Amino acid sequence: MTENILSPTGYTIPMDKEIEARFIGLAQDDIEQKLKSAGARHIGDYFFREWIFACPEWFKDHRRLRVRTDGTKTWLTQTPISKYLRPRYEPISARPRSDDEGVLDALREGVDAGIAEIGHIPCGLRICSSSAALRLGRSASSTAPSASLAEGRTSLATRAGGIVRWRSKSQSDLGSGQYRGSRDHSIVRRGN
Amino acid sequence: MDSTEEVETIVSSAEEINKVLKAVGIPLIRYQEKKRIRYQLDGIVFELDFWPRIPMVLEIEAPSVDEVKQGAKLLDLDWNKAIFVDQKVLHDQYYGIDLNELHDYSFPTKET
Repeated sequence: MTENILSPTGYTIPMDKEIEARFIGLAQDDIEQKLKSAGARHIGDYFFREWIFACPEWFKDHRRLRVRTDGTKTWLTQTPISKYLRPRYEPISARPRSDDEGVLDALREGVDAGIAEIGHIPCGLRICSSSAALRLGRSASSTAPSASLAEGRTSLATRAGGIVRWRSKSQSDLGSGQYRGSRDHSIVRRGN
Repeated sequence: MDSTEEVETIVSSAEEINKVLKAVGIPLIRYQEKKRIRYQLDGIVFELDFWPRIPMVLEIEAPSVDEVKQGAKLLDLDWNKAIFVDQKVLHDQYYGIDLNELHDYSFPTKET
């Protein structure tokens, strides 16, 4: 069964798989005229801004995290190695989701690229070779200084001034009983 | 045929999620901008992409190869000239622009 999903910029199209081809050396006016003549619907004009993040150890696999916005919506996307290694004609599997599992998936997919999950509900994720951690959870309060995605909804945050240094003494000043660390392990707890 | 598997989720703020990613130590590799005009006919999506340093790129997307070919035929395009690499590789192979070397790939006058 094909699942309708909300694609970038908001229109809905069956996209459990997606095939694409590109063409260059074309005249814009000519293409648009042919599209209009064929009855194609003009969906919109967009201006995308995109930030691409990657740890050095991801380069060899072309893995990356992308933050993309059209000014209205913003997407966090984890792109794995697949497009470079998968055989041609294998369809895309796009699974955009707006819940916390979607965020977790986007980051957890990076496990193979060096992100290690170090906690449980919510999840702590070790990034690159650094000692920083992310906390993902649901909280109605803004206990974290940096990024609550939406009040009362899923939040993704670093702690203690923006960065949690796990396995360090700085954990102790995180407060709120939401983070507990030891010298050997770090556990991120669900927020209130 | 270009294909990729992505995991994607909607977040509320580019600025805030960027702060999070930077704060935990994931380096920002590149900032880039793109203008896009999108058309749709049945299940076929036509996207006219405009990047700062190269001419327009037409992208045809559909759930099947046949539909993509149908879209190309609709525009009288030669299927033998279809390109099946992503934008980054396209920049490199067809225009000699290595996006890896660009930290800021934006239009001269940024739109708001």
